[in-house]
Amino acid sequence: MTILSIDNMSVRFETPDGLVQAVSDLSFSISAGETLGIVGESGSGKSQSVYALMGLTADNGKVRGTASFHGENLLNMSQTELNRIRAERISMIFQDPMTSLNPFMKIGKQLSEVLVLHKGMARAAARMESIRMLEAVRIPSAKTRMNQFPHELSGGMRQRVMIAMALLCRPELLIADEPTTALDVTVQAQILALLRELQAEFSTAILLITHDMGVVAEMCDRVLVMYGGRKMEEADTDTLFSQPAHPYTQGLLKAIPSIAEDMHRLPTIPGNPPSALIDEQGCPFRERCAHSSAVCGQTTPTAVSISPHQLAVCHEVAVTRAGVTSSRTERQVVQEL
Amino acid sequence: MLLYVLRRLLIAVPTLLFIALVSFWLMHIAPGGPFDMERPMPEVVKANIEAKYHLNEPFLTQFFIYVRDFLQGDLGPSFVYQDFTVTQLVAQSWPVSATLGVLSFCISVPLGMLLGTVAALNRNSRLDYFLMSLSMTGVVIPAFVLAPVLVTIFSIQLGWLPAGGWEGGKPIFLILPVLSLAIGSIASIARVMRGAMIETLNQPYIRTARAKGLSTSYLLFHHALRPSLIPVVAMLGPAFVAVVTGSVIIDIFFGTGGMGQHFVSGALNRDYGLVMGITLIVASLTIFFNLVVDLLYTIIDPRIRI
Repeated sequence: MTILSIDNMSVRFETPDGLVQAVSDLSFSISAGETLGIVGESGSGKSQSVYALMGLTADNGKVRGTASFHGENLLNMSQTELNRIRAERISMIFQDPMTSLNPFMKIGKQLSEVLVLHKGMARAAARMESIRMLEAVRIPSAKTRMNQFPHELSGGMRQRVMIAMALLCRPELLIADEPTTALDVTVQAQILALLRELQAEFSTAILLITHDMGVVAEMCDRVLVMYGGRKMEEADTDTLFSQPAHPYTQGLLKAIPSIAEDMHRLPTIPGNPPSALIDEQGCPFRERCAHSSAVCGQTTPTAVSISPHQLAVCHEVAVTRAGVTSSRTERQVVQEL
Repeated sequence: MLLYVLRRLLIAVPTLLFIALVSFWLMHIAPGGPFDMERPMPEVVKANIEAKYHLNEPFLTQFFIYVRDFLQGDLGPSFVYQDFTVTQLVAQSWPVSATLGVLSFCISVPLGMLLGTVAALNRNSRLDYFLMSLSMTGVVIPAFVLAPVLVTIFSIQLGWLPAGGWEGGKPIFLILPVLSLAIGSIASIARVMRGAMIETLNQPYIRTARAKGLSTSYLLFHHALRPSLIPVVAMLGPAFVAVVTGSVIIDIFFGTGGMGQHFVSGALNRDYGLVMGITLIVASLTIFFNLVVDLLYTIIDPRIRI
């Protein structure tokens, strides 16, 4: 069952340098209990698209399109209306656990205020429930932690607190914006494992933003690849790793180092990402694409369905698919990482 | 904590001693003296007076005598107001200044913070621009312009309030001096508060709080207020000292008899005793309130430990 379906969402910002188009015509949907990954490099619009869903777009930003959550459009809700949904039905974890918790407030209050506010719980009950949730995210001596401030916890612990906070109201959808980027590798693995377990326990859908293909391979059922504010490819994780259709996805996968082969120099995608200031016709990736032709500069490509599990937004899909040699499968990537 | 406070108070002693020495020295190297007249007085009289005030002693001995008396709670005689000791002059005028200062503080702190917050929440809107132009006006208009304007309007034109005097501190005599003192502080507090609040509202943890579905007022009071207080508190320590030790302009213009006027008259008359007394009071208060501000930091921000 689809819980959230986004259609033609665009986010643009008015800046002193001109209009910046952060997200263009983005469409995707997510079903109950599923994990959808959004990958892309910095500035590809992945964070801005989820901020838009949560009504967190900065004041100079304009969001267009629809994001239908159980039939209600999140994108034209007032802040007050959104407050009924935030944390209660859709919640969010942020990239940097060091700065995302309020350093001036005890952990206990930051957690229990969510329950007091959304569930109308009494303070004592909210505290009990918060302690239970801290235990669920495996924070040792949860009771003591409740009375501590964020700076008294390690980064990994703080991210656990963020996760506990996000799950307090048992939301249907958890948006995780690069939840492990700021953490070191061992802690990263623990946090991902924890997210998977909690997902199974609470049957929460997860929208996972990352730029780490390893995280995608490990966590996601489906993946959406973004570039220059646009969707490039959307596929089952297995399909994406074994038969990437878009030249950009192919380039990304080639750039993952392999332990099996002796590599001296990693393959890279030549060129730089386009400036978001330019909002013109055509495919944003064409400058760096080996297969680009005249048509790529003239019209913006539309989604081409390759199979029920895969679609690519590219004019030259027919050409590029022929060029697919053996890509590694999801399992191989997981093992190697 | 207690140890820290004790240490800070202990450090204050040499600091004060140093300040006393420097001001004592500066006064003595300034040309002229308290007893210089247009017509020279007889040598004998002059010698007598200088002996009475120890002015015939070497500089360091004079300083030593001053410190010794100070430690016994004696700020010495006023060299000019011959019937008064400095202690009496201060005891007379300081309560006036303190009353005016505390009252204006009680008005300017909450009002300044409120206006700053309102402006920050409506950043770059018309309301923000209006409030900030108003506060800029408040900051740049000096008290010696503001006070006459207020008197012209409320005392002369409307006849509502007395133009000056103290009368034992009757409320109606307080309004105009307090207002003249408060307007500038309201304006500067509002500006600092606006900046601090904007800074706070841009923090990632405020985004987290918004993602938690907290209402704006809850977010403001529980998440944003505390972090925004730090720059404001930093500024309030010295501002408080300045305002409770009196303003020359307010004292002279409204004839309230506060301590501020003694700053100027003391210096002009070479009234060594009075100048020293007031300098040391202001210095002690500054040191003390800086300590208070540092202690407040630890209450506001749990990351700050002393």
